[in-house]
Amino acid sequence: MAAAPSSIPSASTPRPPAGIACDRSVSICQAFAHDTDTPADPDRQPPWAVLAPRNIEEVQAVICWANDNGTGLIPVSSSGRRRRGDTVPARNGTVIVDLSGMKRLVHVDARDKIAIIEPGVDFGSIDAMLQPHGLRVYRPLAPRAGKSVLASYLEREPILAANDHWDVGDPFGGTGVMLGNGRYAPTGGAAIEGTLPEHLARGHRQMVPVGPMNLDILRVMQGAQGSLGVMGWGAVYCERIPLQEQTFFGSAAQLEPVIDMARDLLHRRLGNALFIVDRVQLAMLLADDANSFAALQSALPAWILFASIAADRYRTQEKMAWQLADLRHRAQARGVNLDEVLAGTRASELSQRLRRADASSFRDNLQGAHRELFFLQQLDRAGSFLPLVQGCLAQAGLGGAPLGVYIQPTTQGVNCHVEFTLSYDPRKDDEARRSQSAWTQAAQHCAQAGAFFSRPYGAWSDIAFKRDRAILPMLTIAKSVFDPLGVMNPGRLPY
Amino acid sequence: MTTPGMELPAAVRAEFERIVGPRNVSADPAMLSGYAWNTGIGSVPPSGRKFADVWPIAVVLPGNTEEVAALVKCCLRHKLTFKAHSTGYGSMSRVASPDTVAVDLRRMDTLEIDASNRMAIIGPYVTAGKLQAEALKHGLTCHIVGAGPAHSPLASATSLIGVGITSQSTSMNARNLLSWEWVTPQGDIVRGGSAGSDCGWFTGDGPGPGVRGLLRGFVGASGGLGIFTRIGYKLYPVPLQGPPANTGRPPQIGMAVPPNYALMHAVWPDWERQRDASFELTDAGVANIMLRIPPDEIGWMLTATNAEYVELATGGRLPPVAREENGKHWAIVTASRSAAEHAWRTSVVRDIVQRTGGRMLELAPEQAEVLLRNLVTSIYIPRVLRPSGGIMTTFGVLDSFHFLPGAIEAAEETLAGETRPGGKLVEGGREEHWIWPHEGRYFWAENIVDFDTTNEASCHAAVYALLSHFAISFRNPVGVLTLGMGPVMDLQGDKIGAPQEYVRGVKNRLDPEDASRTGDFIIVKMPKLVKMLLPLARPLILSRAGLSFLARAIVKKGL
Ligand SMILES: Cc1cc2nc3c(=O)[nH]c(=O)nc-3n(C[C@H](O)[C@H](O)[C@H](O)COP(=O)(O)OP(=O)(O)OC[C@H]3O[C@@H](n4cnc5c(N)ncnc54)[C@H](O)[C@@H]3O)c2cc1C
Repeated sequence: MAAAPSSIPSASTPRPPAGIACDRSVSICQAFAHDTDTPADPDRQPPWAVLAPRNIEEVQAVICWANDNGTGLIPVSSSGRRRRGDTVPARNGTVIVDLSGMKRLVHVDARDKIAIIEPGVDFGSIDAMLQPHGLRVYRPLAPRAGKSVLASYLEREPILAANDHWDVGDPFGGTGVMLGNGRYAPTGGAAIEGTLPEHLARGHRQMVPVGPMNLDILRVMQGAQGSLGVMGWGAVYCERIPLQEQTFFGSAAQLEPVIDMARDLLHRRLGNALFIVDRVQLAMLLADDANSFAALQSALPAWILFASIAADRYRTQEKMAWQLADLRHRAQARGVNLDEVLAGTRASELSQRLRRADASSFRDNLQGAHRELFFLQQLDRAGSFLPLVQGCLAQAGLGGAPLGVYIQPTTQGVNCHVEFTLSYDPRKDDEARRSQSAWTQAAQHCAQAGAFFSRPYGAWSDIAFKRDRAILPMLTIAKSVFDPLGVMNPGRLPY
Repeated sequence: MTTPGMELPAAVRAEFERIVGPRNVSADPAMLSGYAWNTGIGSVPPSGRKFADVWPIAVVLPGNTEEVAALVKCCLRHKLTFKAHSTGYGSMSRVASPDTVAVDLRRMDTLEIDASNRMAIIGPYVTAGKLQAEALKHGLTCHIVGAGPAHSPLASATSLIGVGITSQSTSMNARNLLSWEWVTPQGDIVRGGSAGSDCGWFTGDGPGPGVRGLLRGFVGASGGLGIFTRIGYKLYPVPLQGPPANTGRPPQIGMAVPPNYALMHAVWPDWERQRDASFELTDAGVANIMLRIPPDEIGWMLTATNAEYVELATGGRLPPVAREENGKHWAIVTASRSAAEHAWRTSVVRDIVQRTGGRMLELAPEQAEVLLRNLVTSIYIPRVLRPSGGIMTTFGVLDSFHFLPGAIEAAEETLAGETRPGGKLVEGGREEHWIWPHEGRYFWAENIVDFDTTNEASCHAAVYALLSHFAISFRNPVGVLTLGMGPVMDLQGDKIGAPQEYVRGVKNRLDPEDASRTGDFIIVKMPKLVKMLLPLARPLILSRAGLSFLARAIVKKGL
């Protein structure tokens, strides 16, 4: 592709790979020099091109080209507002591999409840693709429309369906990965002789996440922030759209009874979507503007468990009846109020909201921006972090700032994702600055108190790897085995 | 009988004794024989001999992780190799080289249940039976692999396969492993996941990439990548509290069917209809356990002795569940917490069975109790070993139920009629598949081969079955090949993205001297010539003649 006058100069850069769509316009490249919460580094060059492969073969061509030329590649699958800094170049001379155009639903099997998708398929579009097959995708909490489904799962974003989250690999089955060394690596159930079309014709459905042999490549790829390879397609388990679904709010003034009830439901594998929020987080999820946020926040109880029960075609009414009885019984036993309507909002409205994907994150609706802090711990310790975060905000004079809490049980309740959302107005410089430093401090305090930063973005990376230096040699081995020339997202993690 | 090949130098012994105490070091042949036996359980004894050709140079029993690390460093200093041994169930932890120190972890049996977070923190010598007994006090259970209650869940979760008959509700061990503590082949102590950051034992991945995927894939390194010393391990809630009440008399011990539990035995006229039912049963999520075992093996469970079984079988008096014509079946356990839930689960099972052309087999109460106890505790192995003492396995699948009929055909081809009257294997069905679903998603099918360890022709038939299942799987896969260990990795690897090269890469980076030595992992240094010739030789190796020749060689040398 001929370089336009407004493109990044090509003197020191190799010729882009033949046959791959390549955009070198300054505005596009500059847009990748920063993201919503990561400013551009003045000492760092922006990427010099955006390459857009259309299929896994083209992804392979790009990676081989990068190995030949020593060019760093940063894979990006989502479109729209990016954040967390993981796709912002940490080295000079990089190019973006934009996978958002790879939007094929390669295969769906309604009987096995599994679909094969490409990385550009996003939460805004996937349910419409799956709906004719009677399926829907497992979702994290209200993802934005442009968020890539595969990228979300690769980054271990927790899904709402805690009972179907057996292990961190979920909801992945087998996948097709192009490693940093330019070689194709089918993972798990995809590691069978023959090509993907041959597999599908024979009836293979790529259903196992673990493997092949004594490797679990998917597990190593997860949490790698694009620094080991590119997933060209992935089989993902889906939920069957139930015949009947009923949703509830379980609420209490204290967190403990709500946690206890969540645990009871998890022990019974009761509930499709299942998560806990405080009143601020729920108001953020439901409100359209500052006024409705304020009204909701003051009307809602302190802690809310959202739970849905559902039934398919197998004696639908009977199943709904015993689940409902169980749910009521557990709520009563734990002293939790169980309602279908809370502060004028129906739980079913929230349920619909959770399946809708907006262009931007709901967390930005209130004041235009937000800060996030998340980590893993266990349900019985989740509540202990709130005073630490509140303390840091109070010290910074931000005691009254809207701070939301979201607790998502994962691994069927063995552990949980704890997330704090701080809404702020980016136009108020002073407040933004103070909240930034309070937030950094909060992350440190939480880490000292046992927060496990399994997904260490930005500054959390230092915190996480300082606490776990012994794991660094293993990271080095992963990099040297899968991406020996270091072309994938160079400088991103401490390999 | 073979005796130890190498003598432990006195200076090394003294160092070992300083680390673990004199009581915990032995090079006495009587002791070492316990680490060198091979009776054909998941293996084949060399030409019918009881002991392995290779014996360890010594056995040491560390009491904690620091001692393990010190032992490993000591072995490295003295250019000795080492191999971890948890319970050593069967002959799985035999050493592969005469300079290997068997590191027996039986003193490391700490067990902590974190009931509210449905997990346990365990050491290597906590057995599955002990863990289950402790977990049941809290209304929890653990995954128990087919090896039964005597094995170590830590060894299984970190180092060797990990599938078991309750996988429908208890997953498999590669997915049950949470945080892990590990002594590397260099003797360094590393904790992975949340324990590495001192946050608890609740997750094994991160910060950043899940590097555990380099150490434990589907199969496990079988002691080839250092020694795991402690893990967080996922448990599963069940509507049971405390030990199940025993019924019957030894050896036919059963278990009283708990309130709101049911064991239902459904039979279909053909595999296609059973397949259709399987899709529905897993989709409906009604079963806590679903298991198909060959009808002859049900007969072994329901009889007290081989003689009784043979008498009933030859007299045509086996109970219906143990008859070949009822072999297309599921034993279905439902476990509910209320009468209403129980009614729903059992009614849905009946609906599905009826809709798909199946029927229910009524079980006598004492039969149901014996079978239920086996299902809940996975204590099958003594009975599976009873007819002949030797067992071998084949297949895996781990794919859609679509493959159920195909997996049966493949198993029949593998056994090649050798289980029929006059054949060289223990008499049984045309196939001997144990089948169960995982997590309501895909299924596992394991074709168990019972053979006579004292008879060379029988050993040959067993090894031939093992080898031919690879050839059959390569030709027409019915799912994932799960026994991808050792040389098989190299035989198949290049067709599936060459994972063996990465496995070798990891091994050689972590353990360049192959000090953490095992015979069951990977060819550590692949000679260039072999690598080049292997694709050319593959058709030859996989031909009937090639397989038979290989089988003969293996029977001579042992497996
Ligand atoms: C009859 C029989 C039936 C079986 N059925 C099944 C089955 O259905 N499903 C299944 O998954 N497996 C099965 N197995 C294999 C079984 O997985 C293992 O026997 C068991 O899980 C491992 O526990 P163990 O205590 O026996 O381990 P060991 O025999 O002590 O060790 C097993 C392997 O793991 C290594 N190892 C042990 N401990 C450690 C450690 N702490 N660190 C590093 N490496 C270690 C050993 O060196 C050895 O290679 C069967 C085995 C037998 C003999």
